[in-house]
Amino acid sequence: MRRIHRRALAVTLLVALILGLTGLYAARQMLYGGSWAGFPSNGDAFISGRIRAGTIKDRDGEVLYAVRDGEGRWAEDETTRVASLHLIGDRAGFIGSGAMFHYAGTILGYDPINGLYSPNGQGGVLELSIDADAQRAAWEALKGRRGAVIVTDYVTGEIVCMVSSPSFDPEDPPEIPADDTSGVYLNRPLSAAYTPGSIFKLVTLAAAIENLDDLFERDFHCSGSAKIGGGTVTCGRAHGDMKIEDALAESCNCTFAALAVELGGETLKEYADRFGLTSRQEVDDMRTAAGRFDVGEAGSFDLGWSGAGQYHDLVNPAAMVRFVAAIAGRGDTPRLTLQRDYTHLGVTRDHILAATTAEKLGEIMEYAVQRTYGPDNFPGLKLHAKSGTAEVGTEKPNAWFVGYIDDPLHPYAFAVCVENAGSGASQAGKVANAVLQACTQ
Amino acid sequence: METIQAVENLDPSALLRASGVITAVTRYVLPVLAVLILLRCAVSMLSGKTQREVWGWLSLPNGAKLELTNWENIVGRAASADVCLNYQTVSRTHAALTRDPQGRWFLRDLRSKNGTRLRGRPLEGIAAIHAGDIVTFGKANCVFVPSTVQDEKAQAQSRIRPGARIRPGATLVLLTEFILLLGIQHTAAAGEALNPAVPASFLALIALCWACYAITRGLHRTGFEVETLAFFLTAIGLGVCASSDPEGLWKQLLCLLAGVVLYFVIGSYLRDLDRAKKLRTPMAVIGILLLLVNLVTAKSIFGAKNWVQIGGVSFQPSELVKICFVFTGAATLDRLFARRNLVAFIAFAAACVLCLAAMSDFGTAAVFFAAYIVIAFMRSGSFATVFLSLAGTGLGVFMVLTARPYVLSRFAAWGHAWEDAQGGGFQQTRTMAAAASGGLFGLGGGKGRLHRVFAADTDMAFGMVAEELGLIVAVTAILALALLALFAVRSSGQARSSFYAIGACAAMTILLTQLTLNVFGSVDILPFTGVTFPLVSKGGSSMISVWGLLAFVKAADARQNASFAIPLNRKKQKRRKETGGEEA
Repeated sequence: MRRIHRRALAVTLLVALILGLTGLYAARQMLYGGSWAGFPSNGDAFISGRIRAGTIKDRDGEVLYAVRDGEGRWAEDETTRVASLHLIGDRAGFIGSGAMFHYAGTILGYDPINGLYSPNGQGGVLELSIDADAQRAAWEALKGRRGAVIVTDYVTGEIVCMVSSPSFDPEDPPEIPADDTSGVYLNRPLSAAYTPGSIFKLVTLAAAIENLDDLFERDFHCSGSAKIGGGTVTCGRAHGDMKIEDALAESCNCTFAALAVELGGETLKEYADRFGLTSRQEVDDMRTAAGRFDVGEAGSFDLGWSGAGQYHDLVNPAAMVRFVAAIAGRGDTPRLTLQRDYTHLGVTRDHILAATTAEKLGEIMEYAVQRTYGPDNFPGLKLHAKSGTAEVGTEKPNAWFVGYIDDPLHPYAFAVCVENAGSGASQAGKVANAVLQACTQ
Repeated sequence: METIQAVENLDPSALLRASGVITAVTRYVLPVLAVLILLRCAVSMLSGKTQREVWGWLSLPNGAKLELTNWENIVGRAASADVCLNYQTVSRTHAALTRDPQGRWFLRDLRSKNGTRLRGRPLEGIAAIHAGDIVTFGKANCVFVPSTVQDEKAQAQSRIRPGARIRPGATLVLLTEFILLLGIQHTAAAGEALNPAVPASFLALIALCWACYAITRGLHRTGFEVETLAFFLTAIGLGVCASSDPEGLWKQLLCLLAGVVLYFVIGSYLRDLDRAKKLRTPMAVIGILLLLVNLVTAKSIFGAKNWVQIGGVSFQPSELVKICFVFTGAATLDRLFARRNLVAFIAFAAACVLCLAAMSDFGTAAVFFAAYIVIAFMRSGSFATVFLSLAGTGLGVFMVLTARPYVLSRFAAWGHAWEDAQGGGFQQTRTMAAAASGGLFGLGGGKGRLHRVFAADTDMAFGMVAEELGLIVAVTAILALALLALFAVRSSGQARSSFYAIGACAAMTILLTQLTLNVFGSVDILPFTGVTFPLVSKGGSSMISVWGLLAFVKAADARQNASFAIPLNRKKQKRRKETGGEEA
């Protein structure tokens, strides 16, 4: 019998296994329970696709969405509703990036101890890092044009403005035909990828700073066009003799195409990859669309244009703002988040750029504002920026404006893209100014 | 009871309003009660020194008296022998000394090197041995001294009875409160849609608990932990059924009653080892027949062909085969030394597993296989047998998967449930979401919504419990079964026969394996197989079979006056006196 007893310990092994797995499961539930409970198919969290309880507020406590008596209501003001549609989500659940789906656990008031139990049925509060004033300003500045606006705090990674156009009023959704091509459900700042145009010259410039020792001593000359790899790269006008600072400020295609060919496609690709412009970036549990950088043939015309942000290049606005944040942050870029004070436990930063390179880029971007964009167009903002006017086939070019303001109280980096709006500096620049003014109020 | 009556008399809509208040208060009380019940049972079942029963002695020339603490004792030089004789001439496993239920003793040589002599003559085969007989193991002489009626009486007096320190009645009061509060939660949550079956079934469960307790006390037994834990799990199971299918509570209750009756019947039957042993072959035949009938007539419900319809009642024969399996697998010591017995059992087990695999019931096949491994190991002690079985099965599984790769696709979502939440991870993701919604204390009985998902009350029962009663109660339910298993292991050290020890361990292996596959399959830690959580998942056949299996745990519990499945020493002694020392 003593032997039987010893052999019975085999059952104890099974018990030990069960205890171990129970511990593993309990730990998992404690860690991930919030996102599990926020699962849209969880009947305790959603009823026919709508969240059961809770409130979404902006960073100043303005209510953007609230469930009262089982009925979900968006903000009282229509502009706010339209400007924040893609941020919050729609009634039908077509907008997958909506905060009501991605932060459902927080909105419902999940905590590991009580789960979704809410004694008064009110659920919880999601405090977004978003500034509703900036949302409205961005929406109004877009003036109905399609595009994307994103502004982030480059110290904490909190996104203070995220607007996508076209949009609609979620309280009064229009009939949207099944064959709609406007991408009205697409949250452009996170989910679109646009031809970058000249804003990509920041990448080429970063690579040039690190790889060409005499870059700042070099004299460049632009005659309005240059033969590169059997094709002709053109500028809007002949820029004449200049230094590299002027080439960026003037956004000289000839200079940057030549630099791209000199650096080589592989080097440029390596930098685009390192800056996160070709991969999907994280915004809390969401992921942005990936950008694209196809290396043209060595020494070719295509490579030249790709170094100037044309050819097959694509960038996502959120990924772009993350890169610009690294320029502002001496090479460090914080993880992006939409939650206010989410970073109180410490900000996770990715180091994607050498600090000295970041400083040089920043200086040149400031110079570009002084020389080309005009500081008067951005009153009160210590702006560092780069514009882009991206050719998109036969239509009017997409207008880009990216950059940051050097202001410890308002450490904001931004990316604005207005589709088919024409000149980057004048069109997107105006939108950027409007948003930044709202942010710094 | 008065509370629930009062609640029943209220206006239903008032109930709904009151339900929120009731939940707010009681959701913290239920986990506390659950933990208290579990702790009291754990202390009662596992703490304290094991007091072995002594049935006789081997007296050595040097005056030492070696105790015979079981009905089946191995004598040998090995440290693992029950009676350890450290002499060079004694083989490691030398001889077996066994006692039958009538108190007769037998000696058998286990192919020892130097042989065994009884009263000076070489022992061949098996021989009866009497008080005062001289036995020679190799060259070591011993005098055999069985315990006398007086010895046993004194022993019965001196051994501590369970329940003296942790009173089973008090634990049962806690359980009653638990069931009552759970019933109130469900009754209130139902509001106007209240089905009378809901309050009725919880009250009936309380009545049944106390009736069983009365029977136990009536039989002068003081051990009630196994029943308490089983009723605790049953109560949680009633809650699951009340949420998902209140009308089904009647059937569930009926099956519970049948299960409890079966529990007492099997337990009583196991009292007599000779009688129980004789059931082995019939049980094997019944088991195989049940599975064959099942294979031929069964219709496929929810993917697995393990259901039989009799008179409009659907029924899972494979559940009852579990009891047959344990009966067949359990063996007394005398059978352990004949290899052909093990071979016969392996053949039987293989037949069972193959039948189940043919029904596509891979979960249950895995349960039987686990029980087989434990039984085979306990019987043979041979790792080789275990490894051979595992290797053989592994090869079989590999061949099946090669021939029918679609079987594998069932498990494709394993570990990636969230990536395929609307496909292969459908059940798992909903289980985890619901469990997380409940947090540690739950949303309240009847307040969950997981039950709307198909088969939630069986395959995802863990999720329903975690959702409504919280992770603490859900984990307590897991621990309750784990505790029963540890108790079976502990009991197997003092069980009178290896038959009981193997039976208890095999029964608990079946239940633990089911638990493991159910719980950890539904939360994506193991592949999702769709077996039931014993007593918690809804299901009549399962309810009956689990109670039947628990009788084996009860039969191994040799603490003084603990188990109704073990004859009371006192009574037997009385009768033995009357019949002149031998019990009829």
